[in-house]
Amino acid sequence: MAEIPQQIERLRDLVDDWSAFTEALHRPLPTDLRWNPFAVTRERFEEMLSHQGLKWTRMPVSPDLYRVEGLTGPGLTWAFHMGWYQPQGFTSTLPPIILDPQPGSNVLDLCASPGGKTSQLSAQMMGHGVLVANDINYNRISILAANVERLGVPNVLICSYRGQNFPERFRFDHVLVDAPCTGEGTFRVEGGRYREDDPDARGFMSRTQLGILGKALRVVRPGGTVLYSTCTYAPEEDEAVVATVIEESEVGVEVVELPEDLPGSPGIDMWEGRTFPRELSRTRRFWPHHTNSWGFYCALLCRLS
Amino acid sequence: MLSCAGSAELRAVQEVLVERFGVPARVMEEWMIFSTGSVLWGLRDAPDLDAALGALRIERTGLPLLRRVGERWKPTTVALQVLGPHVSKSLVELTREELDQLLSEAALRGTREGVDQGYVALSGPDGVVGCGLYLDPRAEEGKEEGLLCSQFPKARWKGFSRYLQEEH
Repeated sequence: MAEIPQQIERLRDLVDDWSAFTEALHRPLPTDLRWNPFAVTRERFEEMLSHQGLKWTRMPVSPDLYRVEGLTGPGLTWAFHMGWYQPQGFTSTLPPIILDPQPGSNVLDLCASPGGKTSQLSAQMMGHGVLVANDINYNRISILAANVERLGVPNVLICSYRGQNFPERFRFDHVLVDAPCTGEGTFRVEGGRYREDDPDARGFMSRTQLGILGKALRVVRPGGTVLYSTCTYAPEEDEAVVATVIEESEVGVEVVELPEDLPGSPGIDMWEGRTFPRELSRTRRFWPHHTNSWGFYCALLCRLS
Repeated sequence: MLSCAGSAELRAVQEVLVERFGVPARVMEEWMIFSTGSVLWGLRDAPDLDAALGALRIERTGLPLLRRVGERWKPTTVALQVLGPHVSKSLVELTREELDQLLSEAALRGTREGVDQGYVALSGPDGVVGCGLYLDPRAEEGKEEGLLCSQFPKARWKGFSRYLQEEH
């Protein structure tokens, strides 16, 4: 069995079943497609999958997501070019589902590229309301814009601010912070796009995440919600960031309980000698052996004042 | 540089999408129109949109609806797809075989009754799929039959050919 990298090995105590976890890391990721209601009806989309001879199932919790067997190159099909679906891992669809924006609300996706979650948020809003997609990287904005166009998303404004410097002149009902991270959750023995272990990079990431999440809490209206997510298991980038923001934020922040039917394990209360507030147990870490998908972490925060 | 569309550009939206393609004016009233010079962009209007636009530096917005080609405004594929259910004029309904032929030969001969010369919405088995250009013999001196030319973007063309082969 191929080696598990040290930066994942060090998390052994967090994992409920190490053997199942590492076994999952040896499996290739399944293909998940999120149906795009702006382009085609659900019935026609399902008919197309069946007609193509693909075995598919609708995913629990994420009802617009289909796990499809037998499809290679989901970004190369005609249905992709026609905007009928967006390839999107199961856990990657959870942050918008937890944030749950309604039609007519004002929503900011602060780290938006390549736009999978942006288009999902728009679908949840049924295309109604202000949806601002922001990304600091201008090249990535081109990819975001191309996906918005391909999927026919009707209500997206695209900005390119540094997340930490996003203007505070307009208040949002909901903010999604799918933060840049070291990406261990994307690791697979065969492939993945995680960064090799680099303590300096982790420190840089934590500082960046703190800045972006702090800003999100300042641009959301009192009573509004911020969903913080990463695709890393690292507590330094997950619970530690949320705990620091709660402790240091000048606006009151409450950690909101997540829906009970979500898979995964509660946030931890201690890591390497640091104790986190007990309410962080309301956050959640998603493991590949529970979901057969990317590793992810989600925390839903409500601004109180 | 992105800016709110001026009166001439709003008139172009009216002439192309409402008058030529029959999209109801009330549908277009739901969209705010922006311009980057050669492209007109549409964004679904919202109660707080003006406040957001005033507060933020916007890089890009919405969907491209019309693209300037010489002196004319041409509807984009995505505009016709998104507004497809509302298109009632300049609509050419094609069978699977006709679409296949149009894509493989880039043009389809034949006069289309009730269709004026100019851009048309091409409709296939799953609704409007893109834009075509119809050359009407009544408007072209010396021509005896009409010609329907595909305006489908090349990148999507390939995918659409597969769609016809695999799905119908």
